[in-house]
Amino acid sequence: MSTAVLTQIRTGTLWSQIKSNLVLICATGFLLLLILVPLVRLIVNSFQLGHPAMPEGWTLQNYLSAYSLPAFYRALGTTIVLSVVGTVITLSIAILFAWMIERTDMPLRNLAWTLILIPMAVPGVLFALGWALLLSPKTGAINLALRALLEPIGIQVSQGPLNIYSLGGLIFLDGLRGVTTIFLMVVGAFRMMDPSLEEAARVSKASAASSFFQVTLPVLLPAVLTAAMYEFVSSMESFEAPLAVGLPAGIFVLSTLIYFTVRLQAPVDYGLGAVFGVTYMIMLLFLLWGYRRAVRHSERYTTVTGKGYRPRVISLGRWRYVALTLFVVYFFLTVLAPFTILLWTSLLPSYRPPSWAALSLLSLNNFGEVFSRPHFFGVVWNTLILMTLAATATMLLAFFVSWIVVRTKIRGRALLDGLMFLPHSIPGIVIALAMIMAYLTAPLSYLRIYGTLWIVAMGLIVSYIAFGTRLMNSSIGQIHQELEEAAYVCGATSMRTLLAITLPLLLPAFAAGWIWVSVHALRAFSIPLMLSSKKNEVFSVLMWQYWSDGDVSLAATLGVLLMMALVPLTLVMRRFIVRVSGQQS
Amino acid sequence: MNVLLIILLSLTYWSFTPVAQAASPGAGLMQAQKEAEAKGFRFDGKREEIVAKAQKEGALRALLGFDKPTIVALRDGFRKKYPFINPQFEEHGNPAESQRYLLELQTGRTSDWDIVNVLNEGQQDYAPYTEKIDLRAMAEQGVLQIPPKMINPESRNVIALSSTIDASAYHKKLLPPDLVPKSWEDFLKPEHSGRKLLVDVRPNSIAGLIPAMGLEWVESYARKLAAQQPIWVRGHTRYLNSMAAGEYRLFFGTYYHGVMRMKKRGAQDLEVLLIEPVPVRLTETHTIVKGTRRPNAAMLFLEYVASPEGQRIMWDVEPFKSSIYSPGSKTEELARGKKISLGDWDHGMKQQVYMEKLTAAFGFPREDKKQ
Repeated sequence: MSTAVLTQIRTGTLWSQIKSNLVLICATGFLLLLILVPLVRLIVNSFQLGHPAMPEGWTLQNYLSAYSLPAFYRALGTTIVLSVVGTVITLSIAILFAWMIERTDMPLRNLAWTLILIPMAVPGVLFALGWALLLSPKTGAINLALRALLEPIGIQVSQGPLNIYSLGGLIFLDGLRGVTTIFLMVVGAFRMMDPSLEEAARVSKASAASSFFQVTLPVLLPAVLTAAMYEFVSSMESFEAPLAVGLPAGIFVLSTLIYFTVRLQAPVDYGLGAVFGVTYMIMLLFLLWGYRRAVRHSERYTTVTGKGYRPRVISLGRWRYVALTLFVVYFFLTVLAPFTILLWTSLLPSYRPPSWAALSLLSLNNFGEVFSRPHFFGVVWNTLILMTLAATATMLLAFFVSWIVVRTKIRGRALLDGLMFLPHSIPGIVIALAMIMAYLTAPLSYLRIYGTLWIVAMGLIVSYIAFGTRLMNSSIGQIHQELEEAAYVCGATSMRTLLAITLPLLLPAFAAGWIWVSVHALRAFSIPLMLSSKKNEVFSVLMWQYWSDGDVSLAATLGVLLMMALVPLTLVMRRFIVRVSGQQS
Repeated sequence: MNVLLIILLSLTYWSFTPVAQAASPGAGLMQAQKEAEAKGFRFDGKREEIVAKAQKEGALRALLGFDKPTIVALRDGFRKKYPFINPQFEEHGNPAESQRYLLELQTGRTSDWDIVNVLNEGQQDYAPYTEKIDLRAMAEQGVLQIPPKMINPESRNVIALSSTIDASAYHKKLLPPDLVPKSWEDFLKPEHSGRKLLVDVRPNSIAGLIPAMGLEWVESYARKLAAQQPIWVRGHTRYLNSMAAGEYRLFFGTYYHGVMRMKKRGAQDLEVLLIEPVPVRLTETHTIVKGTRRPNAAMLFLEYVASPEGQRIMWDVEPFKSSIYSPGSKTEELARGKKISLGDWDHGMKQQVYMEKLTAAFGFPREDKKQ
């Protein structure tokens, strides 16, 4: 059947086109409104005086004030320093591990590959709180141990020697956090790289280290650079660690500056917060544009060729055990140490550093206390609903939009695709602020969504839609059009074809995305925190509430429960995604 | 002679009539009612009617700023006194929660709450959403047994159910006795600079010095305090816990009740500092929500909390937060004989402006708003 005939069958009259694609049109329209309206509202509010719900006129004063505040430039400088140094640390660790695991004979490599995923299951805020307990200058468990070690050799200090409440502490936390993601981004390149280049180096008597620095790394530079840019952008958005350990030290980054301005200080200042949010967003958009440009030309540097080959494993000799030790230390720092101190704290009536004397106080009372609190199950229920809602809505909407982008010839679909990727560059805190401004102002205020679970779900949908559309774009691209065309020839509408043929074929990818979004919704923090109220409190916010109110043991108890839920979910998520990636390749 | 007697009697009658009229209980009430209604407020002159209407209402829903144990104690006490009213209370003490609730009211979300906790510095923002009942006049006329000073004389319908004494705290094993501050200026000593001092980012406590010391002095003091490079905190309980564990040694501008609560729970190394002038602020401000379905039950509850029994609960259970205006209260007893910086209602109405200025003095981001 000719393309023209097929096109005619598909085209029909305009009204019948609209009718048969109504769900698609509505889904796309809803998503565009969801993303664009809050952002536009944020920009508008930055030019207004007064409360978002009751603006008092137009002004440039917010901008003049914001850009004349020393605090703003200090926060900007700190954000950049933190991001640059944190990125260097993250990259160094991730690349080293990718090389060690994929290209060397380090012992227990397969186990290491699985274990390196587990830090993803540790929410950022928990990671920060755990280290706050470990490295508090006076009572931190590690500092107490270090002081005990230093005292016999004549070094007596009254506090420290390490202090998590410092820029160094923030860099430490930020440097460790992103390793798993960057590892996943570069490990494929290590695996697929043509080993003949390294073999040539070894034949020329180069050592493993020389081979790594002078051959492997330069060849993989494009992949490394794109990973670096991604990590830099992620680092710029950092919120949990700066909130937990930066704020007490008086160290502001852009994200905590916004949170402080619209939530903590008295009275709050929405105009100033809006300006900070707009500025933040523009900076990150610019960085993301650079990232996309870098990714676009990365195929020029490919070393994955059509030739068949087996990646060669480099022998490290005695250094194998050093490599393994490095990995063990990393795992200790990112998972074991924070989890252990949180578990210890959860078993005590109130926090005290580990000691033999404290052992007699250990009990499961806090777990009983948490479960007996009347609102606990309400919070769990809210969290489950939020996970389900965010994941289902995100993947369904992503499916519909991606189908338009990949399958149709509608003008502007490239712009639509770009708009779906836009939220990726917007920090969660800015998304939440934009949602507050949009849904406090008429006409959206009449929907009465503010303060409900719906607004949190909508914030998460905006945050994760970029991931959903990337996944659906590539998955839909894998399915040949002839399957759908056969349905059209038999008289099926677009919607029927989508739901009866395309979606079932995409089920593995859909499920993988669903699990990814739901796991991230479970650990989400900045958006639920900004949008939370009594009625829509979720797990991570309740945990933070306990911590802020001084119930450190209860906060630790919730943290332990959260990690126990996230670890298996994360491993399942990863397995699913690998399976889907394998099917697609 | 007879004419003289008549004139004398007439003069006597006209002289004593105003007094006689004033002495009549109805006269004052009627006057108060007229004045209240002229201002657009509701005024109920008969207590029995309030109780009868409350009985018909049969229920009460309140968002209260107290801690859970206090809420439970108040609920049980109120239910005992008025068994025909079924109270449903929720905790609402967090300033962020108050702000969010205000935002919900401002977006037109209706709520079925009868009483709500109001941010002291945000009373004006709540004004359009409060029920216009002249609680102050009713208290002055004895219709409600509430010390009138507990009720805002301007808004007439916001009541401060407790008072907070702003204090400082120190860890007696970590802070040498000679470094324990004895005056406000002692906090500015070099020994306390360089992350050795906890200070709240919300300048509630330091603002409490304004009535006694003046705004200019307090602003200058705030700048000097910020120059000490303190550890900025939000959430006193958490940091008092950390102090008790030995992490910090000195906390500027915390709450007397917070420290005493920690000591009650076993933190014996913490000591409280009451430095003169001692800031005392009206707190736990509550109001009746506009459009409430149960205004009479709401009035009876506010009266109950303001009563000696309610104030005893505020001191014993909250604890240590009874109202300075409640005669014979423990707070009043504690403040007796000391130089006080009392943040009264007038101070409360200006609190928002004070907080803005002091936040800027601390060096935090504030807009330079044109006045």
